[in-house]
Amino acid sequence: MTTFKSSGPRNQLRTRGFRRSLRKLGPAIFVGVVLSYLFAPVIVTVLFSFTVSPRLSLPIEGFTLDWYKSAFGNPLFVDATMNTLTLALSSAIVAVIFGTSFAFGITSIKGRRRRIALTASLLPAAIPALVLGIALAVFFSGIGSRQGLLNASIGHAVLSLPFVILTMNARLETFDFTTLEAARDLGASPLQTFRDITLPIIRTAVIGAGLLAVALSLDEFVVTWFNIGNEMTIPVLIWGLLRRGIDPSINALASVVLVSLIAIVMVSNRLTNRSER
Amino acid sequence: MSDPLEDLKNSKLNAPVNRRYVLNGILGIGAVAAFGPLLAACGKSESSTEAATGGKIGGELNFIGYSGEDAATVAKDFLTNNGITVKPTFIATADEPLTKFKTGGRGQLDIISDNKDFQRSVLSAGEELYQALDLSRIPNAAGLMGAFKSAEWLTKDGKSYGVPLIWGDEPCVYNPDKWDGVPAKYTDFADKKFKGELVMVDDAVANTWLWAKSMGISDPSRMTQAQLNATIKEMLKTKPNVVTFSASLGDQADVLVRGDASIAIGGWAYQIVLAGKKGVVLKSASPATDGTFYWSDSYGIAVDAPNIDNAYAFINFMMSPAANAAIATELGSGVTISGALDELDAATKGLYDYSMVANAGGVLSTQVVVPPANDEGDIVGMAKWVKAWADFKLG
Amino acid sequence: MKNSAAIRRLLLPGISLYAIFFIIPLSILAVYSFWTQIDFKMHPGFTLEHYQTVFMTSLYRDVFLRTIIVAMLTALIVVPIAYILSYIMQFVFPSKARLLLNIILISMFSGYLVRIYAWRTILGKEGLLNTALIHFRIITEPITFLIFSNWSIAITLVGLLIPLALLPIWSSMSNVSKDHLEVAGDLGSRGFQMHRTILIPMVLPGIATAFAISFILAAGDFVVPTMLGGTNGVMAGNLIADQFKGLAPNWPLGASLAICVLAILIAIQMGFMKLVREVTRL
Repeated sequence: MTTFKSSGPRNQLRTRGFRRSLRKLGPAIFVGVVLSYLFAPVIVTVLFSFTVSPRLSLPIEGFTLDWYKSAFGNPLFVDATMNTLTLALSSAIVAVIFGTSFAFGITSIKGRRRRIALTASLLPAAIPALVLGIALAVFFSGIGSRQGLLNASIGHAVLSLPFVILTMNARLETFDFTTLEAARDLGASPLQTFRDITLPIIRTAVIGAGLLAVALSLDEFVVTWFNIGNEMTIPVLIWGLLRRGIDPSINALASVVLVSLIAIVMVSNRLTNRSER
Repeated sequence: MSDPLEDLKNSKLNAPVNRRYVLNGILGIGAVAAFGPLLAACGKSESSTEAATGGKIGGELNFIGYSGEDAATVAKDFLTNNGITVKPTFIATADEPLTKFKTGGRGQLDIISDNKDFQRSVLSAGEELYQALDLSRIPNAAGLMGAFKSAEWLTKDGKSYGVPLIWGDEPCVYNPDKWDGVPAKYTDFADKKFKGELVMVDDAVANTWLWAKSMGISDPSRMTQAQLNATIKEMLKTKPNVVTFSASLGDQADVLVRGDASIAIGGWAYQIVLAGKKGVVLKSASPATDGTFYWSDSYGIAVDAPNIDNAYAFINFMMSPAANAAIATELGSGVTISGALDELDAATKGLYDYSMVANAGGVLSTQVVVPPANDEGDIVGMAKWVKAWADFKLG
Repeated sequence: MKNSAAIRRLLLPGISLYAIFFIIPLSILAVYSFWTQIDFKMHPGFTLEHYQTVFMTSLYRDVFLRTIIVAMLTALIVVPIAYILSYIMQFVFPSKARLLLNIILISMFSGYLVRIYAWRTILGKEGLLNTALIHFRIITEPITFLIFSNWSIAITLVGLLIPLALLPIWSSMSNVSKDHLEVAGDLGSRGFQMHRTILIPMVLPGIATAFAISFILAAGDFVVPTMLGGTNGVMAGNLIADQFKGLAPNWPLGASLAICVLAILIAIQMGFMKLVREVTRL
């Protein structure tokens, strides 16, 4: 663990720099190990989307793009991708808006009731998605909402909400509300205050929460399966294909999704600007 | 009256019909070449199909069932020529169509493909799911082999609720590099030499049925609680040798291909095809003394189906000899239409003994692989079997 | 005062969403837990037999216990790693922090199911790990305990949860400036002590959230045990899922199981939050 030593007169420029690099070696190795661990399955997935043999294990005999051709040739794939993106965006937006406002609302409650409110907001995450999926399906059919993207989108929003609330709440616990009061004293309207003061401060957290919601939605298939009717999303498609037997075109599909999402993250990064850490 | 319910047999069906999908890919060219003549023949019969089945076709067709049985490759030209778009939902376990139907899917499902155990249970339980078929709209069904015409597991009160598509058995599939064959009895799998080599499907009925048969119980589908307990106790002796319970047959094939196990109990000949694509040679065999059971998948139409004309047209097309042969070949299974037999290549034809299904009745009807829906006196019903299997998994 | 009321109104949208699309469906399920189901048909009524089954059956109790233990261990591994990671990223390599965060988030984007399957390729008998170990002559026989076992469940879950746990901790930590810590350092608080007395208390909300996320997702998951758990990997999620499938479904029993799991999770989370508050006060 790195320690902070104040820079004092005893430290020469040269040794300080060298020691600092050395001190960073341990942490760097730690980060490297964790990253390798996290990316091992990702690398495996991408690697085996190119191998000639569909065995998904060694030895690797050669490389080919055929799996990609077959993935793209699958008409279900395009349909599933569009639906997946639609669900992810719509549910994330709903979750972030509702969740952030809820997190702000919670700051006005103190003490035990606040803790209870927070714990209560955790509930959707605390039950298996299967149960939530079936409960929602039964409910929707009761109120006459046909199975499809709308139902699934609501399901995703409900699933993401706890995580958004928790993330935003963690951020807001150390949020200095006096700046808001000062702004109001100076005559700013609530909207202005929110836009010019609150938003920039919480922006990183909001984006983080939004990304979390998007990630949860992209991978979600249990609640989706019960509520999406005859439509397809990528996880639902992959689940169906996996159950039948493994095929590297699934890897190809996943790799394409991965690359697209990297592109989206890069774009969103450029848009948000690296303001604070 | 209370027919045994077929349950997890369906899960067998969940299996892996991946071939259609793979055919879409790398082997697509080769496959189309092989199927060329078959597909051309399919194209020819479709016009007579249209006229015969009547109604207006075109638009959407909802399918829920095993992947592969949606016949995306086999029926491709037929669907394109008639302007039908199939919207498939692929199931993993046989019971999923019923769950879907009951949780809001009613009115959104057209074709259901599932196995005979599931269909038998649903019909005997009086569960609303399948609608009675107007066989005059499926003229090609006249070509069904003896055992499949008016199959008793699809008939109720004189009405027909399904049309069989393919059939097969459930052998053990093994790695010939490690084993010369399989033991004579399922109970022999408890031997220590099988440790870490076995993989079973997570099926509450199939395995129990096989072990009960192995223990000499005359009708394994009808057991008392004591017999059921004894069977589970016997199965627990084999459990330490089992590496994992697969979620489906495709999954089971994957475990064998990766080498994490070398014998699949309650497998499917099609797994050999799947493994072959990955350069792994597998063989199938059933225990000499105990044998194994048979299955059959059928198409049915859901109650309140929104695209019923398309459904009839599609089913009729799949019952044409060419299409039936094509799908059986693709899925490594047996055909159900007499005329289709001649269209098969030698390898696929040799997979099964067709004398078994030439006449009405036969093993497919007499062999009941599921327990009754409910307890009947001493005989325990499905719920007890499900609990017994759950206890087995936890034990 | 006016502000407080206005802020409190912000709770409304979230509450409505919860009420309509979560509380009500779950209430329906809770009601179901008192009914019975025979042959697919639900019979309204009132019976406690399912709850009795849940509490009386030792096998179910064992599964609950094992699920909680696995989930706890997973969370206890994930949260410290996420904390250390966040600390290193924000304070040791601050210029690269955003980039590293994005990279970590990207690891989630290849898909949940696909990543689980990829672990099979890595941990299997003829998998990448064994092949590498044998190739470099570290072992002669393949390791089999890493696949289809509790180990494979743990390894996979940890890999899935680290990015998710990282986000709330990151969020909390981003409020702490380096100056804070340097001042603390100057005042004599260094190394491990600095973390214990200064940094950890400051990011406790984030840590609590991270623990909650890790624990709950680990406890409720049933896909990982199904795909990688082998014959002994049954978790609470599997038990519940099985009641809603098959031709002898028992929705009331499944509902009772789900409610019991829910109650346990809530209790543990409240206990953890309480512990966290106690430690903060120290």
